[in-house]
Amino acid sequence: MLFPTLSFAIFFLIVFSGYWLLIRRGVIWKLFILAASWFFYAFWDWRFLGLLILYTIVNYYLSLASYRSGRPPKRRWVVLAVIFNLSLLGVFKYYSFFTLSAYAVCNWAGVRCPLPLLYITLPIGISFFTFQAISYVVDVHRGLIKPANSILDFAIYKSFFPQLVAGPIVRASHYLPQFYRIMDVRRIDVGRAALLILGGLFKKVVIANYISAHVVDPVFANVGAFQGPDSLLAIYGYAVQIYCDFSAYSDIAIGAATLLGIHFPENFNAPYFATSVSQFWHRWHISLSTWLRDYLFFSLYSTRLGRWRFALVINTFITFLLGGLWHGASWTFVMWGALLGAYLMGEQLLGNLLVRMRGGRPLPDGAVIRFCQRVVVFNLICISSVFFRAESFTDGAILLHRVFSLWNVVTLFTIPTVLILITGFLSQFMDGRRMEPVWNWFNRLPVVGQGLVAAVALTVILALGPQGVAPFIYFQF
Amino acid sequence: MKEMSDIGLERSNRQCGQSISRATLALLCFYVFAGVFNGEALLRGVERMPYGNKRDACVALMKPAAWLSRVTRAGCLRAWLEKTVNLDPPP
Repeated sequence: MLFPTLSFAIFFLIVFSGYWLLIRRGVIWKLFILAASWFFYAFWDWRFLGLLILYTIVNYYLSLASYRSGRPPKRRWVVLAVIFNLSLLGVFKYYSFFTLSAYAVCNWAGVRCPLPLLYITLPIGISFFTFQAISYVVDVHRGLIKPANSILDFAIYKSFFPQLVAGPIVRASHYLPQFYRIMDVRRIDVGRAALLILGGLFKKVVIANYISAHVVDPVFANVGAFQGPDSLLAIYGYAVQIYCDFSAYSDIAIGAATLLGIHFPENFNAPYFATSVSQFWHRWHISLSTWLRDYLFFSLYSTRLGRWRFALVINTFITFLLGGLWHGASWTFVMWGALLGAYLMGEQLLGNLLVRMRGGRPLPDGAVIRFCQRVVVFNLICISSVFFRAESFTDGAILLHRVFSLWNVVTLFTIPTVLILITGFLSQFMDGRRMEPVWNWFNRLPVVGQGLVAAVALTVILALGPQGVAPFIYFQF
Repeated sequence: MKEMSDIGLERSNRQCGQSISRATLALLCFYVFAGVFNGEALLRGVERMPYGNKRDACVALMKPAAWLSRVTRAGCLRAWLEKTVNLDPPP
């Protein structure tokens, strides 16, 4: 079920009403949320609901076994849980990718590949709920959290519909304490929720869909057919599209959860205003980057790799390489991750070198320098994003090469396109606390006024957006 | 890695916002107004769905909204916007 659809609007109205009506009914309330979340998931493809239930049962009991195995807990339970989660992810998401890669290698070597070729449907959101499950069992193992009070509580955490299919990756340490105190919720931040949902709809329905249909898709579908200006526009367009698309999903998820009395952590904070690549990763898909840091990067340090001389640089690179692979089962995603890892390595080495050259004094700072840093970082991210979107290395390389080709013919530069691109870029100002005065203003409006303002805003969004809504980009992950 | 301060958490701790009953009323008002403003367009949209039970249910649900939209002329806002800000079709 897509957020910007009539089905979701009807679903949410029923869930919201039932949720607050049944809040004091204990188990019935819990069963209601679980049923709603499972319905939300099954609406897409009911066959994979069994997979979600399997994840829930196995992870709950393995984490419980880990918790009850004494202090310090035995490693075998957490290892088993991680193997189980990664195996399912591997089968559903990476089997075809690795088989095809093996075929290519075998062909090159002139031997017969023994692996059968299977085309497996990717269950929606599997990457997100795998990471969520791993964070839960590892946190229980590390003693950071206690296991959920019951399998029902864990199932609700695992399946809570706003974050189920495309994040943010909400950790149990954040969700469960709120869940157990839900009866204490007396006030709902409607202003923030409404603005996040409407802002998210605007970014997805108007900006991301428009840029995708008018700029990005035509160019990436035929990379050799467009000259420099159009190719450049498509590269910048994709950077704006992916930000608007994914931050829109996060915003709507955060807004929907807020209306249900649950706080989700921020997932974006004006990433394209970052002055360094490392800062970019503190601002882009924050729940994923902190997950990669806490469960992959730090885990690499605890292995032999952590004792190497260049452990920091190498571990950063490995983390981004695997982060790239997490995004998609394709070598282009690995390339994307490798580029980002290389940027970060280069940034660390260059920073150290410059400080050393200046005799230990910190690097100069100022508005002009920060502006230049932002331009450089944004362009580096745009270059890496080409491989995120391109069908193959060759397509990505051709597109980058076309930027420096002829600049005679311009077909995609129109006033609406440029205006929408700029609006999409500037929509980053809606992240973080910048909109707080508007949220407070909305909260102070009378009830009818709130409904009217939100309905007018929705009407404008629907009128500006194209017919039908494309799925969110991150659904494929 | 320094995590940014989370405005949502701050506001949640400060108990910003409004009571649940007021929020429910606001949401209901929103659905009513949204239905009135977009009823006709939504009906046109669901009429394009493939024939079947789902379509029938959606059409039955949207008909009152479309009628209200037509009677109150609230659908003019969307129609005017669609006509005025006509984003050209993709190349």
